[in-house]
Amino acid sequence: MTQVNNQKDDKTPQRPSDTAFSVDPLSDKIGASLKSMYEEVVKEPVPDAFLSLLAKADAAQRQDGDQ
Amino acid sequence: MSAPVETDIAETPVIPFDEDQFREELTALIPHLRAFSRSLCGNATLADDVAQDALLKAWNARERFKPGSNLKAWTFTILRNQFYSIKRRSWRATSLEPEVAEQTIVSVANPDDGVRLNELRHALNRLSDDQREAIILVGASGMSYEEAAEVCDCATGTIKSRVSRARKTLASIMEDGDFDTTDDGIGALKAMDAILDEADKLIQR
Repeated sequence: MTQVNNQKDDKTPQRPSDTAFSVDPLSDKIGASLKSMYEEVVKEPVPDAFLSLLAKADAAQRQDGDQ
Repeated sequence: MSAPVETDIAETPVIPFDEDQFREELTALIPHLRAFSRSLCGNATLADDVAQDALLKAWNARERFKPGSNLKAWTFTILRNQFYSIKRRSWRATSLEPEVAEQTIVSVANPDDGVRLNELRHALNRLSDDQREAIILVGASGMSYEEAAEVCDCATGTIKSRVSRARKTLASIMEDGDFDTTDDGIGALKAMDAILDEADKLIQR
C-alpha cells in the first residue's frame, strides 16, 4: 500500500484537502457544504445512548466472566 | 542502547491488545461514526441506529482489531457494511415515509447553509452508492484516498476516480438547480423544485 502513487500525474491531487475541491468556485462551495454537513454532526453532543451502549456491553461481559 | 528490551520490541511487532485504550479510542470516534452515518443515511434517527449498531459490532469484534492499525478506517468499514445491509433490507419502504423525508432536512444556525445542505442532500441521493460513499469519505470526513480505499475495500485509484466523478455530478446537479445564485430562500426553493422535478422525470423514464 506504500507504492500507490507510482502512476503519478499532474492532475492527481496528492492531498485531497488541498486540491480536491479547488477546481472551480462551485466545486469549492460543494466541498465546503460537504465538510459543514459532516462537521455539524461531529460537533453535536454525543447522545447518552451511545455511551451507555459500551458500558452495558462491558457490564454484561463482566457478569459472564464472573459466572 | 542495545538493551534487551529493545531487541524484544523489534522481534515482537504484535502490539498487545489494550482493552481500556481501545474503549477510549472507540469512544472518541463516536462523533465521527455519527457524522459518517448521517451523511450516508440523510435521516438522523436512522443514522444513529446504524451508528449504534456499528459501535456495538466494533466493540464485540475488538479482539479482531490489529492494535496500531487504523481504528477509524476499521470502524467506518463496520458502519458501512451495517448501512448497506440495512439499506438492502428496508431502504425502499423507509425512504418513502413522509416524516422520514422531513427529518432529512438539516437544521443549522444559518438558514442559508440549511438550504444549501438540503440541496446537497438531494444531490447526494442522486449519486450511485459507490460515488456517494467516496465523496462523503474524502470530501466530507476528510479521509485520505488511501483510508477511503481501505473502508470501501477497493483500490486507491478507484476511490480517486469515484470522487472525481461524484464531484462533477454534484457540480452539474447544483448548477442546474441555480445552486450558485440563491441568496434568497425563494430562489433556493425553486432550485429544489427543479431538482425534484428532474428526479421525478428520471424515475418515470
